[in-house]
Amino acid sequence: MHPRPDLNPPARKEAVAGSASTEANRVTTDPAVNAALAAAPGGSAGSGSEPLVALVGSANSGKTTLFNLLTGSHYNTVNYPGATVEFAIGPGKNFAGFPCRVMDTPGLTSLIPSSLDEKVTVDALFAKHRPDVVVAVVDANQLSRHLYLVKQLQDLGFNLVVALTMSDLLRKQGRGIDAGKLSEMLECPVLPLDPRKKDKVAELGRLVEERWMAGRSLSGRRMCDEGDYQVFADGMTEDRVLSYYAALDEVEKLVTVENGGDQKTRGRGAAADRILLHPVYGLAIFLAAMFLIFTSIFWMATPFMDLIDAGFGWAIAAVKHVLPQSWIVDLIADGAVGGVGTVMVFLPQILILFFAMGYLEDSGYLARGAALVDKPLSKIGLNGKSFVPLLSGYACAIPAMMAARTIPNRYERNLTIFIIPLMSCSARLPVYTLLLAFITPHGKPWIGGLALTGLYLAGMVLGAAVSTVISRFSRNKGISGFILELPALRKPVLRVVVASTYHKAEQYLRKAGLTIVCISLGLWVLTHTPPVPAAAPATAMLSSGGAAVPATAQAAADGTSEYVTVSNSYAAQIGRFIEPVTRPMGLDWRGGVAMICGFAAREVFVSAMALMYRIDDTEGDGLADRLLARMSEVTFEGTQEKVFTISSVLGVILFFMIALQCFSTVAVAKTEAGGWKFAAVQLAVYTGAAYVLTVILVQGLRAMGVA
Amino acid sequence: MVKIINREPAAAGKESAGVEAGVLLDTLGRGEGGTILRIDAEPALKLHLMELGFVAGSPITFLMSTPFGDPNIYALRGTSIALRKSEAKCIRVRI
Repeated sequence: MHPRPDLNPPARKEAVAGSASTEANRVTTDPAVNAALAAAPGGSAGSGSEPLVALVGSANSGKTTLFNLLTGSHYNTVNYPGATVEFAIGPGKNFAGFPCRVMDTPGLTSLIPSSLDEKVTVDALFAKHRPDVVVAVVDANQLSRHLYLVKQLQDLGFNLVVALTMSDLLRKQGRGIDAGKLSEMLECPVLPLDPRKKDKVAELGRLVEERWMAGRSLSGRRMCDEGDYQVFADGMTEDRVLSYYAALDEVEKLVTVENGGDQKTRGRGAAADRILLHPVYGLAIFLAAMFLIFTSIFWMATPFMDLIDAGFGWAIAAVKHVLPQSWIVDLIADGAVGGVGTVMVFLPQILILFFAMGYLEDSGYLARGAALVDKPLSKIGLNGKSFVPLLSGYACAIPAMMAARTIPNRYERNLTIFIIPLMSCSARLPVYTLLLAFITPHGKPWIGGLALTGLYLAGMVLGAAVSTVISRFSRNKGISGFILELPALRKPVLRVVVASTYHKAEQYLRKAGLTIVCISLGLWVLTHTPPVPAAAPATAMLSSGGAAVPATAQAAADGTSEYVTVSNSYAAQIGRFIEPVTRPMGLDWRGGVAMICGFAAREVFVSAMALMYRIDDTEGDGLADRLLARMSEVTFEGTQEKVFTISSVLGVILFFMIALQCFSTVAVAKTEAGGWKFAAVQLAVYTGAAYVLTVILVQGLRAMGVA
Repeated sequence: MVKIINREPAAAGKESAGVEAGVLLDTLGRGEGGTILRIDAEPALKLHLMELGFVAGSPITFLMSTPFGDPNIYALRGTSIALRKSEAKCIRVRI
């Protein structure tokens, strides 16, 4: 018996990283997993009278395509707070003749997980609500490798149906699989199918139902439990693997039917790869793909964002128009509707990026991209598998951090999570757009566009720098590696890409959406309390300085003024209290309050600016134009000194580039990187560095004579 | 062009009798193939590679490298797998 130092079973690459990582990868019947499964949509109460059908298989076996087919793409990702557990579960309505739930799982090659996402799958299989039937999705082209998992599942007593995919690719090479013989040898049903076509769905449903009934009739049959799994995992020695493969090689030989095809075509897609991974063309194609994705953010997302912004502006006005004037209506209109608007504004960039990435992923290109950038990324302490999470970071840090689960090495995973907030997420775009419009000359929008591209690149460069510095000074990195299967190149299935885009956007909405709306409501309350009595404004404003007097006069003329309320609110009191801190950054207390509001979500900064600098809902130009006009005239209270100058605006941009201004991200970093300490350090480092660098930039520019 | 370096002669004298040395996987030339002899790696990595199908007796071919020269792409058991050279070094093959 070969001694295995790392039982339990750990992510193998991390075996050297210490006992903490071993603990993190222990497969348990986690109560959170059980709760998540019990609460899964489409599910029934309690012990689950509706059977649970789990799809298990390698990431590239067509499993997710099949899942979308079986559930009609109507599924929910179930995430249980506090646990790194995520499943996609949907009702099997297109599928079997009986009510059931279908669960998709992250790709798996063996029941001994080697990364966090694989552990999620194993967790799901051994949760209290054990799947009643497991559909193992097997690529006919790599029978022995994929049947390896099937064998393991069988040894642990799972009730199996094998779905054999990609037979068409095999047929092109003049080969086939005798499914009947395979079924005989495996002693379980085997159904060849194409997950992109519906024709075999009913048959698969029938087989699953048969297995389910068979499983139920053997009610005395003992299901394997956690203890059995431990015994199994401990016994997974080299000899055991060899004996599995010896048996599977035999199976493969016996079930493969040769139809006399061309031997030379058997290097799957090798011709296309010779171009995609060519030293010159490959690099050019990669850069072109990245360039297309990023420019699409600018020319596709921005118009949609303006549309959403205008739409919600209209909605706020409509609410105020329809309902009688009272503070509660204002709260609903500005706080709730405005908050939802803030959340929705990010969606275009998120959707575009995730759609493009989903398209590339389903085509098989993304894995090649990861392989391509592995070497450069390893130079800065990361891994080729950091590529997809970092790219996702340009949409939203939340799904990006969750995507880092596929990185097997714990150190590299955490380093990736650490620098993800530096990637220019969708929340920064509205802020950059506003501020760049302020400092770039009129009539030359291309300068702003160029500057915006520069800011996106700067995020990448900064991330690389931080990663390099950290990896230079850290120890206990564990063993770095890069083993990645390159899936066959094929035409993406639009339905699958759309569904995955939708669910990633949903992750953002679910995790960040509520937080942003709540903080938006809280901010409204802080900026509108205490209520100012009708007579009070004049005295209140006089005390705060001469420059504000015209505003007071106007306020008196209007009868009521939002501005008066705001400048006497708790938020203003806090703002004045912290003005000594914001002043070195070149901001007055109002700008400081807007900056703090940006911690709800960066984009809130824009609407908070409008609120603090008294841009009301009067008709006229667009909000952005009025805000820009207002920004160019505001002065520090009691002086003639302008607040927004080239230096202070550049300072704000720098601050937004670096500071970790998103509470939702902090919460996700805590869960994904495993601890408050990590999240707290990340928050402190970025926000502290942002402040110091901003002060240095602003004061430095002013010392050099830049206004 | 892939340089062929560090190629050891089959059945090197320093090996104990009966154990075939073969060559390291990362020294294969482009398009060159062989049969896996064994894996020399720390136990966890070795087991992981074996579970992925890198077991003795499996035919393997070096398909191509990537633009930055690492990782390399190998054909194994009906699929293409990217492996860093540091990992390919752990695998000995008979040409």
